[in-house]
Parts: sequence; structure tokens; C-alpha cells
Amino acid sequence: MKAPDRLVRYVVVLCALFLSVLLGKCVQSPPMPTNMSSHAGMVTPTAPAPANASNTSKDKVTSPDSIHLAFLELTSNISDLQSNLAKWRAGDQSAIALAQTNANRIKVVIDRVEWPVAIESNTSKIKDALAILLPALQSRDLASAEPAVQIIRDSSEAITNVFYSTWLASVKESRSAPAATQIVYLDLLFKIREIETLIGKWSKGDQDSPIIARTKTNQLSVLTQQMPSMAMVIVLQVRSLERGLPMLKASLDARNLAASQQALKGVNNSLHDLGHAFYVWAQSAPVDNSPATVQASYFDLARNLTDLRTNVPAWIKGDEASLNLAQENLDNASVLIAHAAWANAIKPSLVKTQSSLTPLIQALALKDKTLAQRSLQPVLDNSNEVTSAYYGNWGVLAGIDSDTQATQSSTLATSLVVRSHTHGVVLPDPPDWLKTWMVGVLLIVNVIVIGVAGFLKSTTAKKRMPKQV
Amino acid sequence: MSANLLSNRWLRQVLASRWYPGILQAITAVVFVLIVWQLLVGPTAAYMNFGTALTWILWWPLLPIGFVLLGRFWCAICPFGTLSDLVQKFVGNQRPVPAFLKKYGIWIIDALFILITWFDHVGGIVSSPWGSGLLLLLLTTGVIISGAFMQRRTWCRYLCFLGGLAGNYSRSGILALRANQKICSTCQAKAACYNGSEKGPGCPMFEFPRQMTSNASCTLCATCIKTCPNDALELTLRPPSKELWFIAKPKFEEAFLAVVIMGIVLVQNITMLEIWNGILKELEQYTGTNNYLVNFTITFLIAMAVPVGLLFLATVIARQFNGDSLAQNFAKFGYAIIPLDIAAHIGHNVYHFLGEGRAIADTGMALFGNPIPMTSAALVSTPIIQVIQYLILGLGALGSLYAAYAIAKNQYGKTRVWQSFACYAILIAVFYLLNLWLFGLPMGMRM
Repeated sequence: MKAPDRLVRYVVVLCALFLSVLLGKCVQSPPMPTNMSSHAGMVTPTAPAPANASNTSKDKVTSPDSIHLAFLELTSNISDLQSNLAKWRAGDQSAIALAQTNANRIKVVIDRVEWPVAIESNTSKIKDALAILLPALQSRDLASAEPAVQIIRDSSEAITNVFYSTWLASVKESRSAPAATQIVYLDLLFKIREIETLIGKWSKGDQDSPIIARTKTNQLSVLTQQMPSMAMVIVLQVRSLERGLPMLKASLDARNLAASQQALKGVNNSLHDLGHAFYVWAQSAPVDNSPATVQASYFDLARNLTDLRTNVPAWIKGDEASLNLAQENLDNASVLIAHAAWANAIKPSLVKTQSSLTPLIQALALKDKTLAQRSLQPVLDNSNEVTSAYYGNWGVLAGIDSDTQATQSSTLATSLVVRSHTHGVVLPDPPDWLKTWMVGVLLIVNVIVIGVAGFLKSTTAKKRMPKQV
Repeated sequence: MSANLLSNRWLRQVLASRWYPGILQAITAVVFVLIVWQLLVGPTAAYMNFGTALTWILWWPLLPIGFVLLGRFWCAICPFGTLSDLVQKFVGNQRPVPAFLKKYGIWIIDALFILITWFDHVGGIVSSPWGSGLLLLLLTTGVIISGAFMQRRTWCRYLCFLGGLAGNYSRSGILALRANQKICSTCQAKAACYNGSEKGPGCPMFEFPRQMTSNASCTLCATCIKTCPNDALELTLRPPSKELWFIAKPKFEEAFLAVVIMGIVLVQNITMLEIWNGILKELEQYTGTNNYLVNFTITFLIAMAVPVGLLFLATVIARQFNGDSLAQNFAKFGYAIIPLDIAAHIGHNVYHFLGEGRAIADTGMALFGNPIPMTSAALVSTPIIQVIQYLILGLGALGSLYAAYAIAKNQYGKTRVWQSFACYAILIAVFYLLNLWLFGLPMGMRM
């Protein structure tokens, strides 16, 4: 080939390659609405931290995952505290005991967490307010309780602001992927439910609700960035959810109620799919003994059992859609019980809860409403025991008290009746005995093949040998 | 003609040495044992498993690159080949290859490759260390059976599910080992390169170097270099994909595999993209079930069928211009897709290698008790990966276009070149744009 010809060819090839890159950039999808990389999910997740690994020398929770979870517990209890106070104000005396429970739980969480510096001043305010609130609740002094709850609420809002605006982003690189996946999923779920409630209030005329919902939607955007890229199917669902957020934000900004409801519906659908993906993953994931996973599993378990409390009666009253929801709650509960390596402190109540789930699962499968009604109460009773055991042993479960050994919950896992979801990609690994059996069979086959081949070779060789004279 | 690399004394000595490729085989065998051990008894989560990282983040992405640079050299040092050789040495019965394997081997390979890819999606081979380990054990059993009863590397030539892909990709390889016809015409050594001699065995891949015109079955194991008494073998460099321009006897099954691989690459890409959920949901509407097995299988079959159908369409149009039958057109021009196949395959895996590559070191260090860090596993940033992907895809498209042109030119002379070429050029452009679009979308990771 002549040199000029070759040069022309090289130039053509280079131009074509340049065009290829240019064309690729043209057809490339638009950038994500947030600062998320378009190839999200390139973070290697960390291995779950062993139980008590980071906290044995301290008496406070320090890991980012546990702090995130503690934050959820804190805000959720503060929210309940507020509503219980409102009920008390309206004359419901039974709400006082519930408010006391909330206040005690807030105290447990506040005391046992090494809160980040930026949050610490507000947790101190909550602590001080609790010092007023608890005696006020004890003495049924509403006048003293109300300003204390107001301080707690204001502090909670300030904590929330710092939490989502700076703290979460600052710890992303040091989180444990399996636990963070579960915690972020839970946080997304709670946020979306809150937004749902707020939009519901808005539809009834509350004009503050869209403003708060908008803030919560921003927090959703922050949260989606936090989802570790551990399981592809989960990441894909988070992306799907993320794509619905700009529309929700826009409709909330425009104060368009109908559009907001529509946008929220899309986000809710994505959340539902994310839930499916998460539980399918959790079902096949190895049992996790990190304190954050144990706590998150409790939190999610309690959430599912609370939903069950609503969904089963709703189905009994004739709402057929609630049946599926209740079955999902049961599936999720079974998966969660098997997902974490629970400490002995909580195990007995979990075993009881687990055994009480089976009749309810059967009742729902048979669509037997009488049996369902009868089977629900033991589940709820046992779930209350789980909650008591949880808060009674918060330090143990958080990995900062060392008097209990976390044990594998394989017995819990294997005895569970878990209906498998079909919306997944990965078949669960077979149990260990089956793995051993399969490897054994293959090895035996190999040995037999080699033996037979060796035998055949030797006999054929003998036949071929000339007779000795 | 390019210079003979074997005139380099050092290289000839290395290849002719009795330690080649034995030492490399030993190394890969040790690594293979480590991988199987990790997959079967190591961490059950893929992202923590060193075996998964080595297999799917390192080996699998490097494999197609290896085929382009070194042909089927991997097959020479593949632990399965080593195992087959060992079993054969001690208990081998050396029975001839059954006729049906010779006749239908490539179809069996095609079917196995498609089946394993399908099962990876529904059973999670890549995402499950245990699944990967079981696959390797099953292959080991197949290799032992083949080595124990049949001649040479029957497994590698007629049964290995990667054999078809390796053969096709290696045709685009830049290294070619061929015999010098002038020297061979005077050879008195009774085909020592094929039959073997006191210097060594015959070609393990059943190739007769004197007549060999393709890289498809040459593993560069150098057995022929050792046995040839006349030093007739030459190792030359050639432009990538050059072999595709002059396929003397195009085979329908090989062309079929080439176009099916395009479908497999498409489905591999699509299932890792966010659009996959939307596609699944649409499908659920049509099928009335959310059973992943059913819906994925339908998608998979469609993804296989679309490229085959498009090539078929191109052949229907092209035959109007070049007068060849549909089957002839399909067989001749199916090979032209191979460079784009390789590019799409490499492009897809470049993402996994560059985007998750640090996981290899991280999981490796975890074997010694180091915690897996939370920092990014990416070796380079996403925009850089995408530019690399577009460049590779551009190279592949150019390679395919030129191959289609060269095939048309060599088959039809000057008269019907452009009409035939145009049909296939449009097809290649469609495949190229489709892949380009898919690479532009956010993709999920493997570990």
C-alpha cells in the first residue's frame, strides 16, 4: 500500500472513531436530575461489620448505619409523641401511657447514640426537654408537657435538616452495604408515607402540607443517593423511583394537587417494586449479624406487623385489595426474621411471633376470614413482646452491651413458610446439605468415569499385548 | 506478507520449549482451584467473593480482548484443557470423535452457549458464587468424561460452550500461525504436525497445519512448532478481522452463531439497564404473569430472533443483487457481524472491568482478613468508560463494515459489490446504533 493511501485510511478511521464517540454522546441519556453518576452503583459495598466490632470499647452507638437507624427511631417516636399529646389534649387519657412509652424510647435512643457534633446540641435540648416531659407525663401535667414536646419537635426538625443536608452525604463512604440498603429502603418508605399523609391533608385544605411535602421530597432525593449499589435489582428500582421525583417536586411547587397525587402514585409504584426487590434480595442474602441489620430488621418487622394490624381487619371487612397487602406483610415478616442474626435477648419473642404467623398465613391463603381474625391477635400480642424485648435490650441489639451473644438464626430461617416472589432475577442458593450433596455426586461421577476409563484402558492394553511364548 | 515472528530466535525457543505452555497451564490450574474453592466455600455474597471477582470482573472481560490479540491462546492454557490432557494421559481410551459430534458439534456448542446464558439470567450464575462454582464443576465433569474416552481435545474442539465464540472471535485475531506451503510441499515427515512424532503429539485440536487457513481452532499451543522437522510454521501479524474477508467455505452455523451473539450481547445489556423494568412490565401486561422465568425467556427469544431476522431480511434484499441463495448470503455475510460482536462484547465488559475492577483487589485482600472498603470500585470515571466504549464500538463497526465490503468484493468481483455491501452496511449500522444507544444508558453492575 502506498504511504498516502495508508495515511488517508488512518485519517478515515480516526474520523470514524471520533464520530462514534460524538454519536455516542448524542444518543446518551440525559444526566440524572441530581448529582448521581449516570452509572450509579460503582461503589464496592463493605462487608457487614461483625457484631460488637466497633462499639465494644464504648457504651454508645457510633456506626453511621446505627446512627441513621437511631435517627429514624427518634423521629418516628417524636412524631408519635406529638400525636399522642394531641389525643391527650383532646381528652384521650389512654394516650398518656403511649406518650410515656414514646418518651422513654426517645430517651433510650438519645442516651445510647454518639450523635454527630452538628446534631449534638439539638439532642441535648431533647434530653433537657425529656427531663421535664417525663415527670409531667407521670403527674399528668399537660401544661408542663406541651412546651417540652414543642422543644422536642423543634429540635427534631433541626436535627432532620442537618441530617439530610450534610450528615448523610458525609458518611456515605463508610457505610456497610447490606445494612445501609435496608435502612435507606426503610427511610424512603417512611418518607413516602409521610408525603402521602401530607398530600392527604392538603386535599382536605391544609395549605402548609405541600410545603412540608416538598421538603420531604428533597430528602427523598438525598436518600436515593445513599442506596448502596449492592444488588442490581435494588439499584434499578431506586433509579426508577428517582425518576419520579422531579415530577413530584414540580407539581408540589406548582401547588397542583391532582398532579401531585398522580406523581406520588408513580413514586409509590416504584416504592412497591423496590420493596419487592429488597425482600427478594434479603431472602437470598446471607444471614447478617451486624447490629445495624438486626435493628433495621426489627424496625421493618414492627412496621410490617403494624400494617398487618390494619390490613387484615380491612380485608375481613371486605376490602379485597388488603388481602394481598396483608400477605405481603406476612411474607416480609418471615423474610426479616430470617434475615438477621438476632441476639438471644429478643429470640424467644421472635420464635413465638414466627410460630403465630403460620396459622395466619394459612388463613389468608385459604381466605378463611374467621380463622384470620382468630389468628391475628396472637401475632399482635407476640409482636408487642418483640417490641418490649427490643427496647428492653436496645444496647444489646445495638452491639454496645456485650452480655448476649448474637446467634445465627438459621433455625428460624429454615422453619419459616416463605412464599417466594416471582419478580426476581436470582434463584436462592440451595441449603448447605444440598450443596454438599450435589458436589459429592459430581465428584463420585468423576471418580467413576476415571475408574471405568482406567479399567477399559488396561483391559484393551492387555488384549493388544502379544502372547508371551 | 508480514514478517515471520518465529524468526525471532528467542520467541521460537520459548514456543518450542517443552515448558511451553505447561508452565502457564500450571499457573492457570492453581488459580482455577483457588477460584473454585472461593466460589464453593467462600463468601456467599458475590460482592465479597474473590472467585466471582476473578471470574466475572477480570477473566470474562479480558477473554474477548485476548481472542483479538492472541487468538485462542487462552484455550491452550485453559485449566479445562489441562485437566483433559491429564485425564487422557493416565486413563485416556483415545476413542475417535463420534461422527455426530463432528457433524453437529458447532450446533451443540451454539445451543450450550445460549442455554448457559439463559440460565445465568434466570438462575443467577454470575450473581451467585455457588452458581458459578457449580457451573465450573459441571464443566469439569464434562471435560473428564471427554478426556477419559475420546481423543485429543475433543471437548475444546466440539463441546466447550465457549468454543464457538472463541473460534468466531479468533478469526478477527491479529496473530496467525500458518504453515509455509512451499516447505510443506516437500515434507517427508508423514504429517508429523497432525499425527505426532517422537518430538511430541499431533495437533490436539485435530488441525492439519499444512491445510489450516483459519484461527478458529488454533490455540497457539505450539505443538506443531515442536513436531515439525522442517520449521515450516510461521507466526505472522495481520490486520484485525482480515481472515473474515476471505472465508473460503463459509458455514451457516458459524454465521448463525455470529448473529446470535449479537442478540446475546443485546440481552446482556438490556437486562442491566433501567429500561429493563419497563420492558418487563410491558411484557407482564401481554403475558398476564409476572413470572420472571416466562417473561425473561420471551425477551431472550426475541433478542435472539431480532438480529437473526434482520440478517435474514438483509439477505433477502441482497440476493436480488448478487444472485446467491439466502443460505449462501446468510453464511457469507454473517461473518461480517463478528467485529461488531466483539466490540459490543468488549464494550459491555469494559464497563464491568473498569467500573468494578477494584473489587478484584478488594476481595483478594479480604482473603487475608482485610475489610472490603466502602470506596468506589471504579478504576476510571464513568465518562471515560463511555468514551472507551464508544471508541471500541466505532472500531467494531468499522471492522464489520470493511469485512462486509471485502466479502462482497472477494465474492462478486467489481460488478455487484456495492449493492450487496449496502444491504449489510445498513444492517451493521442498525446494530451499531442500537448498541451505541444502550451504552449511553445507565447500567447496573455485576458484583
